[in-house]
Amino acid sequence: MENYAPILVLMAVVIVIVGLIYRLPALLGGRASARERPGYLSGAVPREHAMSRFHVRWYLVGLLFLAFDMEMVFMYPWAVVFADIGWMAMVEMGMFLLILLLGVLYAWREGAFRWT
Amino acid sequence: MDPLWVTLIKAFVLCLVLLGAFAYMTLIERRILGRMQHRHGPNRTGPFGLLQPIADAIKSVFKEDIIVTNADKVVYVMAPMISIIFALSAFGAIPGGPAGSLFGFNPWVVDLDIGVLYVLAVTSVGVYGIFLGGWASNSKYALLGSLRSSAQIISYELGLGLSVLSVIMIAGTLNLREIVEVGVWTVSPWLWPPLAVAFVAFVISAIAEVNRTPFDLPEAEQEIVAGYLTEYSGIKWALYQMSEYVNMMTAAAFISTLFLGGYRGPYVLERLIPGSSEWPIIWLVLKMAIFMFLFIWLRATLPRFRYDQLMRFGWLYLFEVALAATLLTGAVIAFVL
Repeated sequence: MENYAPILVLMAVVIVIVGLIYRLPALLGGRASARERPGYLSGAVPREHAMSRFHVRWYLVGLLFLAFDMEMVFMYPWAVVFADIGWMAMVEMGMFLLILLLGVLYAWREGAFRWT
Repeated sequence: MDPLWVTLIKAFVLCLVLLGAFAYMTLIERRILGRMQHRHGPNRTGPFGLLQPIADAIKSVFKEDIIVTNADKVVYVMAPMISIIFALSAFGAIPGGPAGSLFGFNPWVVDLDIGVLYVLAVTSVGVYGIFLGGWASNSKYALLGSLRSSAQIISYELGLGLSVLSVIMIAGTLNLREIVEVGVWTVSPWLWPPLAVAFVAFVISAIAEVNRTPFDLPEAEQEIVAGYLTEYSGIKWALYQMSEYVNMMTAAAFISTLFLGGYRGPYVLERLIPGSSEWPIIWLVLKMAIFMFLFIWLRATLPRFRYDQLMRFGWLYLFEVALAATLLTGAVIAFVL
């Protein structure tokens, strides 16, 4: 655990420096409150909140990512000890990957990668 | 393990160096891009335009700060800080030289057993800055930019993570310093083909991860104004720029450390001048400079991907190629070595 302490120190230093930079305009006599204006819409005035609707496919990509990122988490410890275990590790990970690869093929057939 | 004050000083110096390097990278990038497009680039502010970054800094500090009506103010203000804080923190795990080579100190801030995971994890948290910034801005273009950036990151994270695996399998460790000391290319010539494939896949996904051309869709100015940056001005905008360049530098250093021997000098020079490959910092900086130049060169050369092409490339080619490289490495280690 002690090895990880410098990360906290580094982050603390970073936060202090970034905070200073962030306050710089105010310290050097900028306006106290920021000006408000409507969001940019190529000249038109936005009539509704920007977060009204967006395409469902972003959700699909998010789900796919979740599946494969979990797979990758399992592959890191596997990669570290791979050389010691040898071909058995290869076979076992191959079976695991095959199941996931079938998942990709299924998602592909269902059109998860078709964007237009 | 260093005493606290040494870590404090190292962290402070690292931040200042990265921010200084950011300032001059903007100038170098604009000059190189200018030359590549048969023009001069900024050369009026000081000799060779050397004072341009300072002028830019003064300008962005004094520019008017704008907040969009109905924006989510807390998130809107926090987002650039998230971005830059994680960008700066990621660099600390990258070793700059052998132990004790920098005036008796270790040329890294933190030496982690899980250095690879740390850098990957912290750089991907930085994406939250981009995503939340566009999300909170209450602007169509910013929202589109942030959605694009998160979808792009999660598509290319897979290629990135998988292509690292070959290196980890060969080195048998996640510690960046030990990976450099193993020297993945020196293990066996049989490993060169999968390593070369993994290297190319890693560079491509690293460029996508830092949102550089041809993967700069989150801020594609011809399509969505400036993407997630649209509603940001002044110091907030500057912080986003900072995090982009610091991320580029982290990516360059990470590529060099994993695939190109990191802080170690070239073998030929070591034969001529014994001990030269042990010099701290300089080799890492040189290797980083090569990749920074590559990033700029690509920006001047390649057009931008279309969005569906980008997603298809990430999921159907890069992912599979990286996976093949991993399995090939595994086969070589299991059956040949």
